Amino acid sequence: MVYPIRLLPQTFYSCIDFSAVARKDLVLIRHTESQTIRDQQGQLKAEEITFKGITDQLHDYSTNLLGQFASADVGWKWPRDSHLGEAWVAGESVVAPVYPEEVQWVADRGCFYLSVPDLFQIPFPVRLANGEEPVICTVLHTPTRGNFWHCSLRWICQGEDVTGWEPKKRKQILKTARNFIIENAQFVQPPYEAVPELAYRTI
Amino acid sequence: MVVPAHSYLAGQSTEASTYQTRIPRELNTPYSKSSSKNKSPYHFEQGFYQWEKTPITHPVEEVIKSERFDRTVPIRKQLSTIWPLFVHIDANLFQDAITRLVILLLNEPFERVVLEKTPDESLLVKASWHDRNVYIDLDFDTDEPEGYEVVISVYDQKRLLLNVAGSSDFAFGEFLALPKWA
Repeated sequence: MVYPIRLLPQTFYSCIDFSAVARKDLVLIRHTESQTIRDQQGQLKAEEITFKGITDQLHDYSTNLLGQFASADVGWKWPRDSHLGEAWVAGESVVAPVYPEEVQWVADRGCFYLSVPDLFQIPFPVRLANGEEPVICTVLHTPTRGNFWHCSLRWICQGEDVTGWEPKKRKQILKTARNFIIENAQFVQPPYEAVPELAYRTI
Repeated sequence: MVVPAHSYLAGQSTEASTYQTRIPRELNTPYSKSSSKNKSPYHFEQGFYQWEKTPITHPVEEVIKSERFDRTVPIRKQLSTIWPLFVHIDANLFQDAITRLVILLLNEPFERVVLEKTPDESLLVKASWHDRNVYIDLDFDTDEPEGYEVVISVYDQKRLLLNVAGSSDFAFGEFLALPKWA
C-alpha cells in the first residue's frame, strides 16, 4: 500500500479560513476504532467520541475535511508520537510516510460525519449556578504533516479557548460539547462538496 | 369458620369473668365456605380481597399493566447491567444519585432511555422527552458538595433548548422548568 499524496500538505498550500469560504456543503468525518458505534436507539455511543478521558480530546477534537480526503481514508493511522501528527507549518515540505513502517492501515475502523454548517460558530450557552456562559463551537483548519485535511473542533467561551478555563468549568463545557457532537453526528455520508482549491492553493 | 362467642358478666373484671357459654357461631368470612345465600361479594384470591364485579382483577396485575411499569422495566434492566461498573463509587452516594435520576425518569414521559458509562467514569442517560433529545450526565466527583454533578442538554431537532450544569436540584429544576411544548 502507498500513502496517498493527495492527503499530504504541499509547499504551495495555505490554511483554509472557514469564515471566508462557502460552508453549506462542507462535511467533516471522524474516525472511530470500532464499527459498532451506535447504541440500541441508534445514537452515537459516548465511548466512541473519545477513547480517553473526555478533557483529553474534546478540547481539540480531531476531524477530517471530506473532499480530497475520502471516507475510506479514516483507516490510515500512525503512532501518537509520530512526526506525522505534528502541526504543519505553511510552506513546509513533507515526505510521504512509508507503509507499514511509518503509517498503518486499520481496515475495521468506523466513522461518523458532522456537517460544518451545524458546527461553525454555533452557540450553545451553558447555564451554571452563577450565570450563563456563552460557548461557541468553531471549526479550525489544523493541518498536520501527515494530513492536510485535518480540522479541529474548538470550544470558545467569552473569546477564549476552553483549554484555558479552570478545570471544573472546562469539564462542564466539554460535557455539553460531547452531547452537542452526539446530537449532530450522522452515520450515512451526507452529500458534500470539496472545498474550492482557491481556498488553499497559493499558486 | 367457627369462633367462640365470649360473654362477660356485667360488673365483673375480665379476670373474674367466666364464660357462661361458648356458643359457636358461623361467621361469613372469605376463609369460610359459607352457603351461597350468605356468600360475600368479596372473595379472597391470591392473597388479596377482590370484589367479583370490579374491573380491577388483581392489584399486582394492574401495576404490571400500567404504562409507568412498562417504562420501568428497560430502565431496571439497564441499571442492573451498568451498576457493577460503578463499584468504585460510594454505594450510598451512587444509590442516592440513581434514585433521584429514576424518580425523574418515571415522573416525566421519558422514552427510549439508554444508560452508558462514559470514558471519564460518569453515567450518561440518553432519552427522548416530548420528542426532544435529552442527555443527562451524572459526574461522580468527591470535590462536589453532593458527591456528584449533573449536566443536562436538551435538543429539539438539533436546536439547543437547554444546557445546564450543577447540583442535582439546580439542574433538574432548570430542566423541569422547560416548557413542555414548542
